[in-house]
Amino acid sequence: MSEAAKSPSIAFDAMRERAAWWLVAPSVVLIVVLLVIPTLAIIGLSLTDLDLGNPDWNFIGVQNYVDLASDRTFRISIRNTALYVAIVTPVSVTLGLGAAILIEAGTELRGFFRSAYFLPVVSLIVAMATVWQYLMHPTIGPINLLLNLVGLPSVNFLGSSDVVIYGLAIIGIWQATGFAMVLFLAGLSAIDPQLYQAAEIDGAKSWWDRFWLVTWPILAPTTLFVTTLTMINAVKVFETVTTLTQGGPSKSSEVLLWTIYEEGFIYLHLGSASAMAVVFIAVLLVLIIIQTRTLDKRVHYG
Amino acid sequence: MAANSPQLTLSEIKKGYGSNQILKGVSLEIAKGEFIALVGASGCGKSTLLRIIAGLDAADEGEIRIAGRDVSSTRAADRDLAMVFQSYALYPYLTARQNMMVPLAMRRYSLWQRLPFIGGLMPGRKAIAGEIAAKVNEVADGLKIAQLLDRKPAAMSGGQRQRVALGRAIVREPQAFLMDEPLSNLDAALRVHTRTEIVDLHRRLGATTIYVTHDQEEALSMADRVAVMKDGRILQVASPRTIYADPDHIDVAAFIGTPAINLIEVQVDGDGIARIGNVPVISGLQEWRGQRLMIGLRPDHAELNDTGERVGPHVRLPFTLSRLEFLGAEAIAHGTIASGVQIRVRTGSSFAEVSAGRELTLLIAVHHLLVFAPDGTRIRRQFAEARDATQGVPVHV
Amino acid sequence: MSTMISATQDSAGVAVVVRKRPRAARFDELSTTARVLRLVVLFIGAAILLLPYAWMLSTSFKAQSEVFSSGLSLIPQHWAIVANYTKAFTRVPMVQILLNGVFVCLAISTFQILFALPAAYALARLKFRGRDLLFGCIILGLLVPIHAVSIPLYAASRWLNLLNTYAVLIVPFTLSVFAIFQFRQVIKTIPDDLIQAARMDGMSEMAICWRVVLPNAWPAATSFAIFSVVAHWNDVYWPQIVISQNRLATPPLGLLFFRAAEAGDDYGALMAATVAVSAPLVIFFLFAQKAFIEGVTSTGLKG
Repeated sequence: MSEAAKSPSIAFDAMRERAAWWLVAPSVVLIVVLLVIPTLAIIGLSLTDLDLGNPDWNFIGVQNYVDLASDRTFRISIRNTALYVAIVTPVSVTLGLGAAILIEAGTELRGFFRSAYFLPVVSLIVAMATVWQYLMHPTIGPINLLLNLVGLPSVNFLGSSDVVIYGLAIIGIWQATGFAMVLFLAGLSAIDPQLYQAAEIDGAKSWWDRFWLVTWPILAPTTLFVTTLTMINAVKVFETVTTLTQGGPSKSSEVLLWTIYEEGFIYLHLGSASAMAVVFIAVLLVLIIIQTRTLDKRVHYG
Repeated sequence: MAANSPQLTLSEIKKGYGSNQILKGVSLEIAKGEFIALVGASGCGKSTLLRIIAGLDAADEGEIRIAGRDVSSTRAADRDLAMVFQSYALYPYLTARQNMMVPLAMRRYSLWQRLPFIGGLMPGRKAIAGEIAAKVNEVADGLKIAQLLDRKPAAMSGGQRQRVALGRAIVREPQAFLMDEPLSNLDAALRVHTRTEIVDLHRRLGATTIYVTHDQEEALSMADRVAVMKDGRILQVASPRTIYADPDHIDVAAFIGTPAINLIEVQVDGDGIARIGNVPVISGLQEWRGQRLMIGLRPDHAELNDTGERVGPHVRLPFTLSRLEFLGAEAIAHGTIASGVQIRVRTGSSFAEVSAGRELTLLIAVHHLLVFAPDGTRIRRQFAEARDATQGVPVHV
Repeated sequence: MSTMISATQDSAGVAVVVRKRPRAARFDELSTTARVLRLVVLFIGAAILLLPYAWMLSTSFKAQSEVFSSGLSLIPQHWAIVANYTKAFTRVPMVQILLNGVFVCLAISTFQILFALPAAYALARLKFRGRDLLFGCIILGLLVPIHAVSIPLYAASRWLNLLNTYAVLIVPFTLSVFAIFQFRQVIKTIPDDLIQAARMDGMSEMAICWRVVLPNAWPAATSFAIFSVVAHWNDVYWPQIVISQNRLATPPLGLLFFRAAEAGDDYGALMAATVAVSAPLVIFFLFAQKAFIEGVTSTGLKG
């Protein structure tokens, strides 16, 4: 304490610093144990042939990555994931934007529609996937009954290798639309209403002109943000696959996370599963970098 | 329609939201080329009135005519008016040049030429684009903002944004300009400077301008005529000089002028003489016998310690100086007249020498005393200076 | 446009013509056609989005025979509510599963806030050596999803004999770098005077964290808690890896177990089970819609 009296500011800083360490200590421990070590471990494991069914393991360098390049399942998985993302993202972003604009355009039943469109986002996806499986059932599913009613043939959405990705994508769109919608609603509510008034005075008479003069350019950063976020979520598709198709029929619904899960926790090939996980992280990393770049542009006025 | 018919006519405009009546019947005629200021405290309805003129809001009742044409049911885009918004409402993702092009592009390009992405490829667009660009450059030169044209609003100062907003309004050569507190987002020094610029601009373009402000000084210094609003009505429309010196209503007198007008309560006695406390001031108010009236006195309409002769009737009141507020070129003397009524008087700065507590005489020309009835309306007539027989001649220093 | 003119007498007895006209529409108000069109389109969208819920409920009321024969009818002819729900609650320990879900989600979000808030406060307001390094690690954490590091975490859990415990469901999620990041942004906006005043009053930094910062960060904490509960109630990836016993299952895993146990096409009972596991979150949502939507919007991430 006598030292403290000599130079109070240094003593104060030291005290604050000790306090700060106490405050961050639990998080630091958890970050090291749950994040840093596992991240390093996954990179390390991806360079081995560790297999839980086999006690011996060797350091094999980048062999796992080389193998992945020619691994048929992994290539199917990448292709399927890309197809799934390429369907779900544009459709749900467009529908979400449309829903947000329509909801915002009027005053009647705003709250009801917002909640109705948002409900799928907070619903248990495993449970709702089960419901969709019933809805899409080839013989008793209401969707196929409806198709038959208008004279179209039944589609085995989840059981035919030609369409299973599209079937899963329908469920993905069903869930992602509401999520895109609320983000667009937030973006729309941030638009200065004076801009629409200025647009009207400037002669933008139709909603079409006002949309292209004000809404679209102002929402552009939001749209980029929602698009990347929807892509990130779509890349992580897993629940519907594990519930409904387990990668089948004949690998036609293999997607990245399911393939990693299968490789690591069903076949117990930890080494090659880790290499897949590293690829998975790399894909997400690219998307997140795009996303943070676009986030920086969200504010127009300096 | 006659050749000298007004450019803009408002008759009996009413507007309410639920039970809240914002405008209670506003009528106004604005001549071509006139600069009129709508001034009033916030909530008086001036911004609502401007929005109704613009067509951004619809009136519940009443009629609006622009250049003789009834536009009451016409939408904003078809009224041929331009507006400068308080926040400027510049499109943040467009450069100054593009912002200024919008009103022309919206009106001159066809629907096909305005299509997103491919509109630029449509035939005929290029020729129009050249004309629009020339017009924007011309206006930008006039406003001295040519060097800003390729910047976006985020890269401009408040004053620069304000000019671009003006530019966007000017390019179209509309029937009238509507300005909604366009200077309120600028700092004090820039505001005074921009006032002059807008007045010059108005003189140069000769365009009809309706200017909404809460700042009475702005209204007085810029406008040809000032309309003072309160509680959804126009109290008075007149030249700045008239509004200041000859107000119709006590609220107009109270709102206009810095420092604010002195409002002194007087009691009218049985002989129709108005008294401040015991001191008689003016006579000739027989029909207000026994009532309390208010007298308004502008701080610069009185003289202190004056012994010289004056033309016309004058009132002399004893004045005890309590404090002098020195402002450089002038000073404000705070003091009390009879029975502790506080007033402010503007004087020359030489009064700074005078010490507090000193007894002085206040000399006021009778025609400068503005008398208001209990309902706030002005009592207009020739008043005589009142002398109290019992007290004799008022005090001289 | 038609104009109605009515003549009235004012107090002075002079006829005054007052023009009343149909109120001109504001530019941003929709015409009647547009209003109807908006409602129709939105209703169709809502019907498609809500259809699965209607079918889920309806099927959970139907007898098994009817599921295969009733076609498109939503109203059951033979009610089998009791039979279906009895199966849903007895084939797997459904009550236990739901309680597991509540317990695990509450534990996770409590720990997340408990650990994240002090760290966020220190990062936002205090200077200490290693702060930048720590912040770097947090950014790294934002980039790496749990799915990616599940392999070493699984290996460690197995080695520590933690498989099939509550601990393994909770511990990996006790740290939310996202919460730290989010709270740090909020705490940065708390006025400095408030924290200085608390120091003047003699509060320790820990006390400031809980008694000054927490009340100010409360809306952000609620948003985060809701987001966290939604995410973890839904998560099936990790539970599926580490849990193989019915009594420890979280709701989605419980449903997968139920499906595995049923195997057949007893859709009535299956739908009853899906109603049981999805109802808590849906009911919670219907009661706190605003907080939910804000929570998911402000956190901007899901799953």
